[in-house]
Amino acid sequence: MNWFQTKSSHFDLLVAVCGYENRATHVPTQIRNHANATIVLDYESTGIHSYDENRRTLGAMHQVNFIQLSDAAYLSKFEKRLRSEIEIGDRDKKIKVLFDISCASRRLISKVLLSLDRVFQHELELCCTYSVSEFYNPPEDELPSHISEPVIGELSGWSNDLSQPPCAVIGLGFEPGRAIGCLDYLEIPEVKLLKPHGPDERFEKAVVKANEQLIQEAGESCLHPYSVMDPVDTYLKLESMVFGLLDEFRPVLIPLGPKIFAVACIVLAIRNAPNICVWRTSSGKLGIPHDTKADGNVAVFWVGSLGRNRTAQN
Amino acid sequence: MNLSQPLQSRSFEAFNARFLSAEEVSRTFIPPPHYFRLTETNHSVLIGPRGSGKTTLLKMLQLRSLAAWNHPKADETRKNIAFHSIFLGTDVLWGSQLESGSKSISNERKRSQIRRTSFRLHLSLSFIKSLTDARDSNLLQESGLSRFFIDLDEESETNLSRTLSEIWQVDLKVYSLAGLRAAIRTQLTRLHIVIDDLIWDEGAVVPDYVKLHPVSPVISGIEATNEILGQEDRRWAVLCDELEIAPELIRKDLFELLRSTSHSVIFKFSLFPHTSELKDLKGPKSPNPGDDYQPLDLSYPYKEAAYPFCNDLFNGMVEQSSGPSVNSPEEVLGDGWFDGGRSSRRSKASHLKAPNGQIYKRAVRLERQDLGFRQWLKERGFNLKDVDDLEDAVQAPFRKAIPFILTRAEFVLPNGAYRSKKASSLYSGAYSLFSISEGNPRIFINLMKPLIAEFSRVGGTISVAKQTASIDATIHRYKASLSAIPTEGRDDIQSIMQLVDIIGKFLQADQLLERFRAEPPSTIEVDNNVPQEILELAGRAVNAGVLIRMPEERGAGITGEILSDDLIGTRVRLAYTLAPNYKLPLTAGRTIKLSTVLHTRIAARIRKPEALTQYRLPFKGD
Repeated sequence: MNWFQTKSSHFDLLVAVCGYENRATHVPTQIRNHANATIVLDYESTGIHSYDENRRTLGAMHQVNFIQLSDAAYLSKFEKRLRSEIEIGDRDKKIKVLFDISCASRRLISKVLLSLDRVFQHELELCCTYSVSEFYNPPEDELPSHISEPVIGELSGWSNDLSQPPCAVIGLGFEPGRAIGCLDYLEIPEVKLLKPHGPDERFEKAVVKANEQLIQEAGESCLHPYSVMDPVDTYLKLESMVFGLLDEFRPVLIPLGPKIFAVACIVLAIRNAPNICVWRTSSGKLGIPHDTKADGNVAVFWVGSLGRNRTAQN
Repeated sequence: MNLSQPLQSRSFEAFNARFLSAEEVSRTFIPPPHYFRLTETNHSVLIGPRGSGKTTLLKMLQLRSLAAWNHPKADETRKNIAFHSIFLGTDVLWGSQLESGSKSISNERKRSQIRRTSFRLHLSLSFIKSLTDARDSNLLQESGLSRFFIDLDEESETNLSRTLSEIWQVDLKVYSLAGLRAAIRTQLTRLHIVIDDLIWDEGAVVPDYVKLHPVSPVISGIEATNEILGQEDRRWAVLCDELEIAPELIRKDLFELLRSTSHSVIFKFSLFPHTSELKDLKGPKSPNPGDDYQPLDLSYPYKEAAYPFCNDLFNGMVEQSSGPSVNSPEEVLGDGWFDGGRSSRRSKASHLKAPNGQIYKRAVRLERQDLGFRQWLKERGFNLKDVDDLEDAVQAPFRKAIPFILTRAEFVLPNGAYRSKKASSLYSGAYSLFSISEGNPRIFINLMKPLIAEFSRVGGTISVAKQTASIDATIHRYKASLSAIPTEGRDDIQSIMQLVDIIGKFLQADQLLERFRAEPPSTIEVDNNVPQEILELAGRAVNAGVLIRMPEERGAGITGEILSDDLIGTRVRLAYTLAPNYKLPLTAGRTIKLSTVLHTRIAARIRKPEALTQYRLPFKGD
């Protein structure tokens, strides 16, 4: 189901994220009349870029509840709100949730997906959307990524056999040196590189340029393209690749680049816990904020439920 | 497209020995001097930054590696080695998984038990692997190692596996070493379930096997094995690689064992240079370097000390590439500006001699464009045309200034601005490249691989342009690696690269733009006015190998003193790998305090805030 079909669907719940990027409202404003209720996870970036405007726009949504991410108890508040959906909803039907991940961090995406799974389990009918950004120039030099760790404890994986080498499956991004630096830090001997292609060719070129040395060292045969606009296909490719690796390697998924790839990694890791590690590497507060605008394209990933060993569905 | 089978990315293998087979490691092994000391029968701690070859050295103590090693000194080493090694190679992934997966366990005691148990189970698996390796009949064919062969009949194997399972509290279904291995793996899988249980229920009961000491049961198992084998004099060496990855409490447990006098077991650890446990271990239980263990430092504070090893590595790589044979690295890489006078001595033509000496010509160029240099020459009474003829003692201050004359002539324009060219030929040449590698095999291979490939393809001397391109690529990768190391700092200095950049740019400006001096500062003293968070960051930079610890004075010992973990008072220099990046010479001399460097930067920021990048986000983030 593509975006045009999806945006006419009806959802029990919309989970939106309010940050400083202009694209934060691109999906929510088009879905506003098709969702019974909205939960907005709020970064509280007052005064930064488009945040204030985003806050106003999302505040005008139907049946909206804001949850501040600075609140230490934000997850339990979120889950409490989700449970109230079960009470309101029709018990015989699955609960349809649209989660717009466009402005969520990989860590937040992981936590939200695990919460949805905990609360709704097999009753969940999840759809994740990702608003593709307008192209902007990548940073010219390496930016220190002084955070490098499993995305969250639940998705850190587990090493039963240290003689099995790790194998990194890296979704490439356009930050120079980030992927190769992460590989060096983890001292991973095997690698598979997933190169995104999307509506704007400039992005793909920037990705190749930023990872020139890594691609050269790993070899073209380790490079696999994936489509930003077809996350279901990406998920299936990723699943097949990772299942093939599990016999000989400890797979580590490192989702740099477009966040829709991160969703595919996180869903796969949840379904196969604790066999797969999802890694995050970030500049944290050293990063320069960018007011990313939507280019109009929306990638749609119908996940279904997040229970183990369930496959993705269209 | 076959997505399930990753192709061997051969270039990565060169950077990481951990997952190479024993035979693969031994095939290309070039022993540094430390290796032969490591083969001695005593506790040892191998100290070195990332990429310094610690894993390779430890793996080369294993029976299979020794058996496969082909080297002039291999027979003697096989004959002399008196222990059977148990290699435990942990990795960052395991450490992070253990840390991240168990950190939500609120009961600290239980959390510690989980972490210790994971370590012990992996160590037990390593012990079983060593036992299995020693049962390989191929070992009998290697006369130097046949004494380590273990002939275990079915009854003995049953007896051994039963005994070990009782000591380790393993529920054994099949009484064999393979059965024992499978049962330990099951315990590891269950350990993850125990973690889950403890996260959701602090009061959940942990199984008894989780309460065992992280190492003692393995030592008991080793002693029991010797009894069953009837070889009570058999010595085992527990090799723990990259101990810094293990949780802190395990490191402390292990370091206390360095004081142990078990007849059957010795320990050999590899570790980063800066590890807080060494500092924290005080009192009667603390091990002393020299007395309780042999410290072996793999860093080369002085570049000349790394040359013999670099030369061996170079020859090994040339041989492996099937290129033409070479008599000296200069044949392939040419002479360099920072070769300590080697090329001058070889050609018997002084570089200082007018009118064609290479250094003379650079000095003349600098004299023309640099007022400060002219004043310095005048003050010291040097006439460039006569310098070569001066007595050694009179000439000495000029010789000391040569590295800075070279960089100023190369990088500073007559108007006092930096020359914009990115690549410089100043750092080409065999011994300059050796210095840039820091004797670190990982950097060395990265730097030399394309050059030796070119040499084996076309022969002759590799062009300066190709050498410069390889230097640039190596620096790019090195900086990317440094940028990826997780750290915590203070204010707008949060990462190793930021700290390094501050030091590098300070030295650059001081050496190139300030008034000319024969010996401006080129090393840093970590002093007690540096904030604690920056001290920690400096420690991480030492571990990454980008800050190299230096003895106070040339020739000072590098054993006990340099192992002292207190960074305050330590003299460090920037790795020569980054010298081209900051336009610095390959030399280490006078020292300046780190707090002065930091204060100078703060003062500069107050004067000209826009000149410094403001990285910090002014709002909260997830």
